[in-house]
Order: sequence, then C-alpha cells, then structure tokens
Amino acid sequence: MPDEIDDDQAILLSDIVPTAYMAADNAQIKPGNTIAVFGLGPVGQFCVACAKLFDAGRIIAVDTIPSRLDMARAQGAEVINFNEEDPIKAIKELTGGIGVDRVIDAVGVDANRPHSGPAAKPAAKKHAKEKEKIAPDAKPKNGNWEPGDAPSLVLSWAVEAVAKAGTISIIGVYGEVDSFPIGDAMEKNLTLMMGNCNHRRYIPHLVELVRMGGLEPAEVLTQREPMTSVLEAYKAFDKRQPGWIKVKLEPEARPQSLAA
Amino acid sequence: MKAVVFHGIGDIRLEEVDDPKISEPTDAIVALTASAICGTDLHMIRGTVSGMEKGTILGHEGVGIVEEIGRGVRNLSPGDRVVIPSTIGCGNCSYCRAGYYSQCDNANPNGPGTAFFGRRFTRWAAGRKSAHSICECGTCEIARRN
Repeated sequence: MPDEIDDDQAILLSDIVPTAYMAADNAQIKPGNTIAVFGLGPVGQFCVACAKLFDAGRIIAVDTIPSRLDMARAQGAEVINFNEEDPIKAIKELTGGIGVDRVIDAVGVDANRPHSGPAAKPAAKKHAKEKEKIAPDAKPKNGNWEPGDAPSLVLSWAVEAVAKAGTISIIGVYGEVDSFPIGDAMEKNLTLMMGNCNHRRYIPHLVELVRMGGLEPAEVLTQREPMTSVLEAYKAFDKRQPGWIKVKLEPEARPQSLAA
Repeated sequence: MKAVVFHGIGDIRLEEVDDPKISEPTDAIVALTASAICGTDLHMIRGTVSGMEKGTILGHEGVGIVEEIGRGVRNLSPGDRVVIPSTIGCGNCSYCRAGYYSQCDNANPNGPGTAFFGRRFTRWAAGRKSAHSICECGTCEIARRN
C-alpha cells in the first residue's frame, strides 16, 4: 500500500470500492449509457462513482434516506425517493419511456419496500409474505436487526426499470432468495451479471487510481468510531441512521462524526 | 485481543479472544490500524443470510502493518503496510488464475466468498491484531484446516 494512500482511503479499498467497481464493470456500461443504481449505502454510492469511471452518460439513483440521496446527488446522480414517487414510473419518465440501459442492484436481500407514496401498495401486495420465508429466525430488538421486508423487491424493480436488451448487474447479497421474474427478463432479452466481488482482480488497479487522484474513496466515510463503541456503531449502521453511511473502526481512536 | 463475535441471530458481543498465531507457513499476522463495518455483516445478524457459525469473528475489511510472516511467505516483510481483501483465494486454482477469486476452489469450495463466512478461520476486524493471509496461497491452508 503506497504511503500516499491514508487509512481512510485504504480501508475502503478493502471491500467496498472494489465491490462497487465490479458491479459497474459487470453492468457492461458503454459510454453515454443511462444507469440506474438501486440502493445508496456505501456500495451504492461507489457504484455511482464507478459508473462515471466507465463513462456513464446519466445516472439515476434510487433510495429513500435523505442523506444518502443527497450524497448521490452531490456526485451528479439524478435521485428518486421511492417513498415519494413510484421509482419505475419516475425512471420511465426520465428516459422517454424506454427505461435505463443498465441497472445496478446494490441492495440485496435486506430490501425495505416503500411504506408511503404510490409504490407502497403494489409492493406490499407483491412482497408481503417474503420476509417470514427468508428470515424465519430473525430476532429484532429495540429497532435493531430488523430484516428487510421485501427481499426480492429490487430484482422486480430492476427487470421493470431496464430497457429491452439491457443489462442487470447484481452485487447485493441474496442468501436464499429464489424469486426472480425470469419470464419478463427473457421476454426483454436481458443480460444478467452478478456475483461476489473478486477483490484481488480490481484492488491493484484501484490503488493506482486512488494514488493518482482519479478516485477519492474517503468521500463516503461519514463516521469514525473507536473499537470500544463498536457495538453501538453496528446498531446505528443497522438502523440506517441519518448520515451514517460508512463506518471506519479505529483500534485507538475517539468517536468522531464526520457528518456536516 | 478484542473482537466482535457472532453468537447468533441478533446477538453480537465485543469480547476477548485469543491472539492469532502463525500456524501454517503461508500465514501472516497483521496488526490492524483500521477496520470497518460492512452491510454484509448485517445480513447474518438480521438472519436474512444463514449459515454463520456461532463464534465467528465479524468484520472482513482491514488495513494494517504486517507483524509476522510464516516461512512460506515470499512477497511480504514485517513492517509492510497492506490492505486485506474480504474475499480470499489460493492463487493456484483455475478460478483464481482467471480472476474469479471469490470462487476459489480451495478457499471457497461452496461458493460464498467473504472471508468470515461460516468459518472461524478469520481472526480479525475488531482488534489489535489479525491473522489473515495477505499472501493469497496462505488463506487456503487456513481454510482447509477448518
């Protein structure tokens, strides 16, 4: 690891940045393409950044947490709050009715469905019983460790949002989810790309990119926490508390929020 | 050293665990200067991804200084600063040689690739020290042992 890359940058090169980079690579982005990124946690934020590295023309970013939408907007993405708008309708409107060329699913099994706005009712109807099937042994406590309430939601949205002959890149983890709209995907001639990140394949290139200033990974690091408060940090990140996007743990540090 | 340990769905604890030891020639011990929390950890704690064994140390992102290496590690020296990827691979098998480290035949014979997944061979993320192979071939040895 070159000395010019500090720990804040380096820790993000361990997993998050290569994961997002592989998602963008798998999305088969051609210069000028319009991309939709579902999920704007740490990986989703870097999917936005990496889609730009692959010369995406437009990036549409979907989530519901204001601080996460703000961060994506600051990167130049056109943001959609799925609790305010139907994300599929909004994507169709933004793309002349065609849909996006590429979708990146940075959500996975812990997807939460909309609970307000026009998309709430159809999502509830379609995904209501999935949570019990996927996470029968969940033990939520004081608002923590609550499984997502619509495990296959983003798979459905991805197939709906993408244009004919488009590509869906899945980087979200899906555990035992076995529901995917294969019929619609087939009818649209879609390409599906997915998988766990092959970190070592990307890290050397990304280290050089960061060293040369072509990518600033520390922009999504919002919290630094000492090891002694690690359980509190897990709980805050689990609850997706406002402003909590990526948490770095420092063996000897004091708590410090980097949020503006 | 201290580590965050998975005890079951909805139950993680910060506790004292054994310091790592070099037990295979391709092992390395890294003193972490930084780690991080990843959403992948949360799937197991929420119970949406199953299979994690009780006693697994959580966390799979690390940056640190190499403290000790086994005699089979040829490309690192104590004092080197390294980043540790969260998937591991042997470097020998056909998948690794094609760049599919997360599907390594030796480290991840069943597919799931994150270093802690379902195994106890990772000793890292939450503490002062970490034994985790940086040399790609070392991780296989650790994986096989478990």
